[in-house]
Amino acid sequence: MADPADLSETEERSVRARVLPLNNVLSASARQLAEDLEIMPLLTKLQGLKEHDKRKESGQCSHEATALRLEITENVVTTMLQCQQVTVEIDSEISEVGEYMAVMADKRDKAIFFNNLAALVANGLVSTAGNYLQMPQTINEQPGEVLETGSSQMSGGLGALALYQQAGEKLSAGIRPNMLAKVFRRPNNEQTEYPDVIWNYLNASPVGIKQTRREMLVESWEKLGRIPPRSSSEGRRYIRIVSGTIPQKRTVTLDMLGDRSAMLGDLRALVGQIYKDLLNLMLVVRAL
Amino acid sequence: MRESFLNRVKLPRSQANRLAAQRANLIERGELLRLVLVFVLVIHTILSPCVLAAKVPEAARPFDMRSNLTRIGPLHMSEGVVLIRANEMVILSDQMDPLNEAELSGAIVNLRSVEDLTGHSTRGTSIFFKGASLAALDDGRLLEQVELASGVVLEGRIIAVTNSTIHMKIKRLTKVIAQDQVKSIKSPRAFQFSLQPADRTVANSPNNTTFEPTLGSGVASAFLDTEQPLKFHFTKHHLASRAAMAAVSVAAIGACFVLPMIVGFVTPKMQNNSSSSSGGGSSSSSSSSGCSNGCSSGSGSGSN
Repeated sequence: MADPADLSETEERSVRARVLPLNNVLSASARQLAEDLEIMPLLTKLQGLKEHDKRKESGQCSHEATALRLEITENVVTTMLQCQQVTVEIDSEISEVGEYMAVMADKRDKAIFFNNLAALVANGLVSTAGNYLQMPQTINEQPGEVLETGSSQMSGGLGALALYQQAGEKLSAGIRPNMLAKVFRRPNNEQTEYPDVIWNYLNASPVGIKQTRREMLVESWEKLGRIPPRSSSEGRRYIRIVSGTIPQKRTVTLDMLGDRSAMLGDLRALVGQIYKDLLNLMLVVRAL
Repeated sequence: MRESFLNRVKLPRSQANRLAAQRANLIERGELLRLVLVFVLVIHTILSPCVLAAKVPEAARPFDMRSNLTRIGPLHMSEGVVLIRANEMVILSDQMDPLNEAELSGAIVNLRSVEDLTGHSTRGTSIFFKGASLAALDDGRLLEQVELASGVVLEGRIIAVTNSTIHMKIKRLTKVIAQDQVKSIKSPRAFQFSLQPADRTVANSPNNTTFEPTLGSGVASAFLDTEQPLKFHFTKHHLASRAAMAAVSVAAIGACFVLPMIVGFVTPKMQNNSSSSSGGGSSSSSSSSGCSNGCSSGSGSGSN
């Protein structure tokens, strides 16, 4: 056997795949996925044919091996497409949220700009005029005092208005579940349904950990403060709002959309992890 | 106080008698009121535990049936649960949710048990009145149809269901229909269901719970106008609200300047007795008040 240190990843795996049992070649999560896709018996059968050298030398293999490879590849490609389907849906939701956020932020910035302009007029022009009118040479100081008091009141009011405007607009929306709905065990619709393979992957526990991937994800959001504790009614309500499963009456805010976007991004990253395991599977298939 | 007043003031006998009678009447009323209050308090103290005791068993009463659910109309629920108690039905999307946060809750019409080849099942028509997801099924504007055994079709909104009747609002009148006269109900929030209790002894036992829409799958108002409100906010130019906002802004700015003027006019002017006592910022007010009082040296002393 060649020195494994001199071999590329695929060649090293092929050497190991021909000698060792499949369980030792596949990573734990790839094995889990292979079992879920029901391709483990196919892989075992392919390993039993021992056609690697023949295929390497002549570029051909038996009909049985070809059929097995084709079936495994079909499974893997279908899973990849299903994964792609989920990530595309998540991506479109993220981009939609981003669009709304941009419009809302633009409106907020415009409001704050006008507020600043008004504050400039109140503090700069009116107050200055008031001060000029209070000079000792002026006949009557009362207009100056009035202008100065008025400008002080205006700037106070504008400051309070700026605080309110900083939070942005509060909009309303109908029921429209997103890809987070099912993750939070809330009702979803046909469009936001997950393929079984992806859903099983999210509901499986990584090796050595008791919690499922989905539970870990939701817990991390809770720890980061993206959602209030699920045990509280406030938390459950916010989950319904962020996953779009209840009518939203002035609850669509920039903060909520930001949380939704970040959580969808995390979910997308988790779903994308399945590609690693699929690559692991295909490397083994190539090696056999 | 009143007695001393009566004693001090000499009144004609008739008037004094009348006042004394009024006083006695008032005291009597006060006593009566006090008695009533004490009575109410006692009754409340006695009955409160009884009322609570009567309520607790109702809330804690176990459900007659429980089954898993994966789909109802357009709503998919990965871990949904259906709970039935008498003619009540509650649907939770998460078993951990409290009952008052149910996705759907309502009543059952024509609840019956059926024994066939597939086994024992409970069937009926459920109508949902409350719940977080009710808006996904029904928008409250669609008219519902109740077909009677006689062939008559009633159109309106079902407002309540009891053990034996259905209360339906037709235009402005409420009609009470006996359940045994009802042939069918067509509504986006009504479903014909068939439940088989989950076999807890068998792991992953098949779930045979079905909810069939009574109005056809394509007619339900679920998820309509989902984008409309947000887009409306973004694209519509609210001219009326803009005009109102502009008016409010002008009024607010005007008030900022009018208020100090009013205060200036209303506040009494101080006498400029000791110009030396006022200094700095207060000098202007003292000087102006001095001038208005006809003091020729006021302005000068203020500025000094």
